[in-house]
Amino acid sequence: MRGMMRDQTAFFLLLVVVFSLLWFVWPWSWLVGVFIAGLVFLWSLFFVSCVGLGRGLVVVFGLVAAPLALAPVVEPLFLWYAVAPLAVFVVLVYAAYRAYDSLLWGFLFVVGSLWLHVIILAAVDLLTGGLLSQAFNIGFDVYVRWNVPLITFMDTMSLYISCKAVKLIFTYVKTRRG
Amino acid sequence: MAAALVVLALFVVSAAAQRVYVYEVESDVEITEDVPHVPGITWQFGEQLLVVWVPRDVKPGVILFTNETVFIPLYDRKYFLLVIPADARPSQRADAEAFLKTPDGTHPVAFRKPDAGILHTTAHGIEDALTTLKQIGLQPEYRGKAELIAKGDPDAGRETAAPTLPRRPSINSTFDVYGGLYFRQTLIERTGQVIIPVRGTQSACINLPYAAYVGYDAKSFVLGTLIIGGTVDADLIVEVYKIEFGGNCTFLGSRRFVLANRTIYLVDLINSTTSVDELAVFVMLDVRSFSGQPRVGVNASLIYTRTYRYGFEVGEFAARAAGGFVVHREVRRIVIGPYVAYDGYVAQTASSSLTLTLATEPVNGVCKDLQVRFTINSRSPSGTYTYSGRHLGLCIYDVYLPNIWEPSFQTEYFYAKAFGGGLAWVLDIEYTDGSTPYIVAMFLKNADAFRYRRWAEQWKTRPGVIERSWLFPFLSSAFELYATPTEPSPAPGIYHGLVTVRTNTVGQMFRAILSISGRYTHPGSDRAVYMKKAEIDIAMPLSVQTLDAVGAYLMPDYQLSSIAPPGWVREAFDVKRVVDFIMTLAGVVGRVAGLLGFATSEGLKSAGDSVMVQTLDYYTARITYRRGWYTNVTSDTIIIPLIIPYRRDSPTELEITRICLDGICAEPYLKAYVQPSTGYWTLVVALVKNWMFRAQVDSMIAYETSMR
Repeated sequence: MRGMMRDQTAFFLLLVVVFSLLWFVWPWSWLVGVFIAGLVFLWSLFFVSCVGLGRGLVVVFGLVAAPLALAPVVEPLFLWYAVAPLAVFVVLVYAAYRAYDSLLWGFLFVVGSLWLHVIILAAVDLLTGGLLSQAFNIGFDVYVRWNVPLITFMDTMSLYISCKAVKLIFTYVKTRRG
Repeated sequence: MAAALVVLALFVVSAAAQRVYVYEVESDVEITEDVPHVPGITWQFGEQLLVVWVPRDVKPGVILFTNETVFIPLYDRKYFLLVIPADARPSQRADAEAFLKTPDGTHPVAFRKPDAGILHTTAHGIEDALTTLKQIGLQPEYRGKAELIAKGDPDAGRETAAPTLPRRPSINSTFDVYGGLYFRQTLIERTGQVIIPVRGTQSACINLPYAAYVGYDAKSFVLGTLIIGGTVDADLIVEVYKIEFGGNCTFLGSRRFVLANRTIYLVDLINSTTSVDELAVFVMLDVRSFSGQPRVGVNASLIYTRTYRYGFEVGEFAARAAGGFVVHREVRRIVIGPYVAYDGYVAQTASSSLTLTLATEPVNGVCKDLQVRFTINSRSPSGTYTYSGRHLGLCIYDVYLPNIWEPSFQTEYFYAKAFGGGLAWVLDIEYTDGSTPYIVAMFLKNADAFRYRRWAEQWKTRPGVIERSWLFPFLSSAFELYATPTEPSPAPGIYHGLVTVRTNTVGQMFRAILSISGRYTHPGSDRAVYMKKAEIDIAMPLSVQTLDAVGAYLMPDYQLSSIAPPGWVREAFDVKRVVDFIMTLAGVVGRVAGLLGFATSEGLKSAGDSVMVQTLDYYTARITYRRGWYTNVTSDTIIIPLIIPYRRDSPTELEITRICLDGICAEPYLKAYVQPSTGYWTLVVALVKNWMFRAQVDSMIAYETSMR
């Protein structure tokens, strides 16, 4: 646990997964927007913590996630559900750019981590006989609730592995170059 | 003779209060539509004795679906009050079918259709019965117990219970169909003639408003009355009309009865002979006086003779109960229901597979044998069975009803329609030593409480001709469900669901209208939680690849409101396509975005309400409705027109193989039949409908508004 606290990414992984468990009792109402905002916010912090998390980024991700929670109150904000992934992606690339001091490296870090994590997910899906595909297909359902915590756990775990792996690769490449 | 006596009754009824004796009768004859008469007596009811049902006993029980503990009366078809004029002289006549042995002497009794129309009255007890009798102008005196003893074997010739299956009647078979007519509850505000209008917006007669459509081939017709909020001294007048070609009505005759509360009247003017013509009835009161603010409710129950010619005139009704109920109290009665008594019950097709598990506290460490007496509507029996308990800490009893007693079902259905009421199982439970069990919990297996075939319309069919009414039957098949929630909830809520299939629709023969309703209610709370998700699997002997559906909410004002995502959610889908394209260019495709993509796109997708059709196999489709987390439509009912593919030359059997309402699932295999799209000459008839569903009694209600 103490080791986990030292590893910021692992800490946020735990936080996202614990938060996702709330889905089991989350009311099927406008509050679903709050849940989605929370999930997006914590997931973003988790991912970005892999390359370095600053207070500024916390504020930015907070601002990116907030409209998702507010959409039921201000309906046009539902447009943000379409735009938010792109916004998060841009901020992630920016954060990685700051870490690696190169836009290309930042971009490659984010896209590489995501691709590697989806490959791991595909492998898990294959090994579990399509369990993950099933979980994704269920989406947000009022009665079937197991899928969201499962997706969260598998997604963050694989992303944890993949971002660490990409980081290692980048360090290795940089060392070789350097 | 009977008519003359009724006319006589008109004159006598307003005379001074007549003294009558009231006896509490134990009978070895069950009272049906043939009621006791004493040959030779003459009073305002002819030779007839009045029958008043009173409970044999009243014991604590639990109404499962409201979770209330109340005292529940149990009636017995061989226990009632008999009212006889005080001046009737006892005699011994050889032609009597039975004898009434009273403390005042013995009277001969014959059974036949009632001279004065009154089949029977129901009261809460002897005192209540005496009050009712006073209200109809009698001067009753309770004279103690009496016996009604049949000559010979009382059960000879009576139908015994036989297990039946809800089979589809065979083509060209003729059978009895039970149905109802419904009139508006009417507030009595003045004396004189007060019309009781039929429910709905159209009269059966062009020249007579408020008349109810009876139609052809009605073999039996009764009216039931309920008076609340006051008392009325009045006559109930029933006028019978023949509907002429073109829609005008001509008077056939009328009957006049003394109005009494909770009473059933037989209207003999409507019978197999008169209803060779198309008939209508008109009901009114002749009010002499009233007190309080009485409301008079009148409903009618009918038995029709129908011939099944085409293969689409019947549907099916199934009612279920499911779930676990925590009771924790001493209980003698369990009420399961009431379920809607849908019009059109086809005689000899009722069934039940009621199955429940009872958990009781052991008595001195022992599980005593439990006796369960099954009754329908607390009156007509359907068998008494004894069950042994398994000792598993608690005593566990597997209670199973082997079969329904069809004659009891018919009787109770017939009476229920006369009061616009429903059907419930009332179980009388006790240990075989007579003591009362302490019930901890009970579990209802997801099995049929009631099931029967139903005639889909009030209309009959003719060879080679289909009447226009059949193009939009009011309601074909229905599934009704009571259950406890599967989700954790703060209070023990009850779920009530209903799925119906109307197998055609206005002017079009290639659609079926599916309606799905569901809501949670919590005892003691007015708040209802509307259905959030429904899945219906429907199978047909056709390819369902082209089956299509759009959905709409049926709003409380009967308007339709289409099921579609809110405006900005729709806009967001368009924007999302653009953003997804940009993300794809950036190398983030589909699930690569992982949880981020999942949360935002699924969050958007599930924000609005949706109805979708999914093909399960060549013959089976699943229709799914989801209420979005953002929407807040105040309706518990959705209407989905299904477009049935292809031209069809013969009736198509639809089968609902699975129903999941808010996570409570059943496999009812409920059948409905869609007319062929070709092959019949159409006859246009009047567009009047009485058969009731959610009080919709007008065929002109179109489910199509703003839908393709």
